[in-house]
Amino acid sequence: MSTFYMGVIVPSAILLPLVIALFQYRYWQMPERLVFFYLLLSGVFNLAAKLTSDRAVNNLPLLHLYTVAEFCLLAAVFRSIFTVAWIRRALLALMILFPVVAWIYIRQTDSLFSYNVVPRFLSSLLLTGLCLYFLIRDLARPADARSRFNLIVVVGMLLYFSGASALFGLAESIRQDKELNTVIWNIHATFVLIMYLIFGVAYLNIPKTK
Amino acid sequence: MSTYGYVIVGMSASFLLSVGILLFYLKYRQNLSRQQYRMKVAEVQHQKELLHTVIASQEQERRRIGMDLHDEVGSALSSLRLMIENFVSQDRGALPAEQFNIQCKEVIDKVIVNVRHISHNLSPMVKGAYGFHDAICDFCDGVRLGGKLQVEVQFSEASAALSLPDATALALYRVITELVQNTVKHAGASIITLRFDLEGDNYVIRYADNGIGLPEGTGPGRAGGGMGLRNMESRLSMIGAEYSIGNHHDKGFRARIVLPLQTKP
Repeated sequence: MSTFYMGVIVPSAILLPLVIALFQYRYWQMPERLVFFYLLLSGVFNLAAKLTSDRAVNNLPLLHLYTVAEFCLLAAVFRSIFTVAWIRRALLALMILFPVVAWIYIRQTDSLFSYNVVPRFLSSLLLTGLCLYFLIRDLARPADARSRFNLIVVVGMLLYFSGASALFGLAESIRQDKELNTVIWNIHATFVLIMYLIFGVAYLNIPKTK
Repeated sequence: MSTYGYVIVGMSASFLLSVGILLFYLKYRQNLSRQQYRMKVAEVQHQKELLHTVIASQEQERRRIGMDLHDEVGSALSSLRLMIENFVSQDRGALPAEQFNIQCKEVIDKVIVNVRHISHNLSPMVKGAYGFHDAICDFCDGVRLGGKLQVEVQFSEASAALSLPDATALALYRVITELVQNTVKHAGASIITLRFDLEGDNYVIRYADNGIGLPEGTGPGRAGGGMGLRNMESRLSMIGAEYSIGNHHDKGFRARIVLPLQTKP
């Protein structure tokens, strides 16, 4: 099966939310800014991954770095959304602890050049949990235009991270059959594409007020 | 099933579960919004009704004042005018000046008393400590004079001496007169009891009569409430008081008004 879809089409799709976000630049607040940085980071890592894989260079160290940066940025998005002090403190603690855990994992398993199963799986579980927590809290709040962006972004994150958790947890066990491996990573790419499109919709829904 | 199968099933299941959660979330929010909209519409409708009641009762009050002025003051002044005309046109010997003087003074005194009654009714003296207490007692004395109703008024020591803000005292006075008028007009009662107490930070008024009680389905916020009830509600909401009304188990109507004396933060 072709890797064109997951290697070119889906990574390029990140341009869509990025361009929409730039058009709405004037109306950004902190969550919008942080999600933009996340998209930018994803775009840069996607490009780096494409360039290195085309040259047959092992790019898994990049994935280690990306996992940590992704978690910290998305945790910062949640930190900018939640206003309760203890949740903000807990998120800050997670943003500090997660890189430490990821570093310990690399050192303990000597896995810098292999797939980072535990941090990736842990990150996706934590982010799924945060998305669910956001939805539960949001049920009790009156709907307003300003929080629509947050809600749509959380929907995108929930669909992606919950869907990809099983893959992240078992990624090391599915390397033998290349054909099936590609099928599964194409499914993963579809989840990524859905998340990017939803982020684009989120930027379209920013209220035109500061 | 192979590991690949587990991964695909796991990914699909967790993705579909998330979709399910999101659909539930959207449905719940939709229901919540509908409910909030319905409550808002009902609230607006209720406010409209209160406004109509205020306007209608203002008109009614104006008519009553007009009638009072016409019947009490107007007729007395007309008779005074007639007396003066007769005195001027007739032979002065027919009505001695002293008697004319006495009759004129009587009519003028009557006008003064009537005007005082009307003005007291318009703006009862409820100011300061004991002002509200005295105004309520005066009003109840007036009702007792009619002879049909026995009115028992009990002020606890602290509640009698309490100096309520003018607007609050006036609103409570109007509410109590409204309650008494309702009892007189509709209840067929023979006894009214009124108790005023201070309970913690609340000023509590208990009103009861032994009449026929409220008709079925009447109460705060219900469609069955008449203009008097809506008037009461409007006045009490303006001063931040809460009230409940209902019937006694055996017989009669009861109302409880609670006025918080300390403003909530």
